[in-house]
Amino acid sequence: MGIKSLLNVKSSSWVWQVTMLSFILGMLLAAALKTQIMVKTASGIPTTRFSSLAQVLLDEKDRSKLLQAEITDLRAKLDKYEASRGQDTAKAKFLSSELKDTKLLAGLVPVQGEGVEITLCDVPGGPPSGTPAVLQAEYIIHDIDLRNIINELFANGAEAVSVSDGDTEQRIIAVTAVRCVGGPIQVNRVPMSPPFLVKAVGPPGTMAGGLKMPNGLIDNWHALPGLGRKMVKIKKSSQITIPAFSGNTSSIFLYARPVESKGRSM
Amino acid sequence: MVFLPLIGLVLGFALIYLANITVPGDYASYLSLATLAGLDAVIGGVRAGIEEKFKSDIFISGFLVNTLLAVLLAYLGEQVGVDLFLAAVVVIGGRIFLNLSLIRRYWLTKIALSRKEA
Repeated sequence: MGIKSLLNVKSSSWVWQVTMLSFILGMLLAAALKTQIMVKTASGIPTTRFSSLAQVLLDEKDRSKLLQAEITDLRAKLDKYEASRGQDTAKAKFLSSELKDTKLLAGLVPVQGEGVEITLCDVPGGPPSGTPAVLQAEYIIHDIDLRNIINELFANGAEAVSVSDGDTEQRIIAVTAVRCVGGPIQVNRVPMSPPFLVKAVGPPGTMAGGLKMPNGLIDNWHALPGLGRKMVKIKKSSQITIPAFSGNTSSIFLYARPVESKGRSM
Repeated sequence: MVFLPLIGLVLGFALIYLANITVPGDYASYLSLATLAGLDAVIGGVRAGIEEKFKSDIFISGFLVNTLLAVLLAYLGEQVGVDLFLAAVVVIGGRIFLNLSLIRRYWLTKIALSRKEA
């Protein structure tokens, strides 16, 4: 056959057949391409060829080194932050415990513990007849009696003291005044009337003993000539609750200002 | 006439590429190999057609059997730990290059003839 007829491809059926399979080949090609793209996208590796993979490996090694350095850096930072946080915590703890102590001392928090309860009341029925006028006052509770009791309690280790009369209970704080204003006795400027209940948290035995000691406060009351007997009952208790100071603390210190001393720490 | 196979290729490609069809990544290499075998069959068909030795049964069975056989061999190789995939690639690739070079020669001869006639 001649070259001419060989290259004459007109109306050859093979072209159609090749076209048909080319169509299928195109489908295969597209599917393969799509799958390859999908694999590359999913794996994050841009190629599957070895030389390219080697480059990818080197790049990843570099990145790994950088990330390691970053980790070291971040760890150091974390350590620093943790250390400083620890200091802050210690400081905060110190401050909060300091604040707690201060509030306790100021009587701004309710407290509970063992202690004594002292009931004070006027002698029922008043002084017996024939009592000399000068001694009649000895049969009732005066502000001086309350002050002496409170003083005696603190002197014997009381850590918190309150006075109540059934209507109100007043915590004894640094600026508490106990005084007689007309009939009633004012504690923290709140009028109160007998019977009084004085509560104290502290060593019960010492406090009770201090009150009852010979020639002491209560002993003297009872030893008064002319049968002066104020009604006193002392009861030791293992569980006494004393409320916080209930007054307005903001109006207490109008004149006193803390002295700023140099080099004062904290 | 000569461009019909190319048009078919592009049409088939577009059909699958634009359609929302994906093949699991595990079969990616097999698909590539099947594509290569298909390419070999088509180019072999073109060469046979040019040489006027084209036979439908050989062409179509060649396409199907070569494609499947290449995939099967590669699969078998993977199972027994021998890289038969490469053997298929080498053989098919070699044949594609051979056929393409033959087609190129026929084409160049034709161009040379038409120039001589003109």
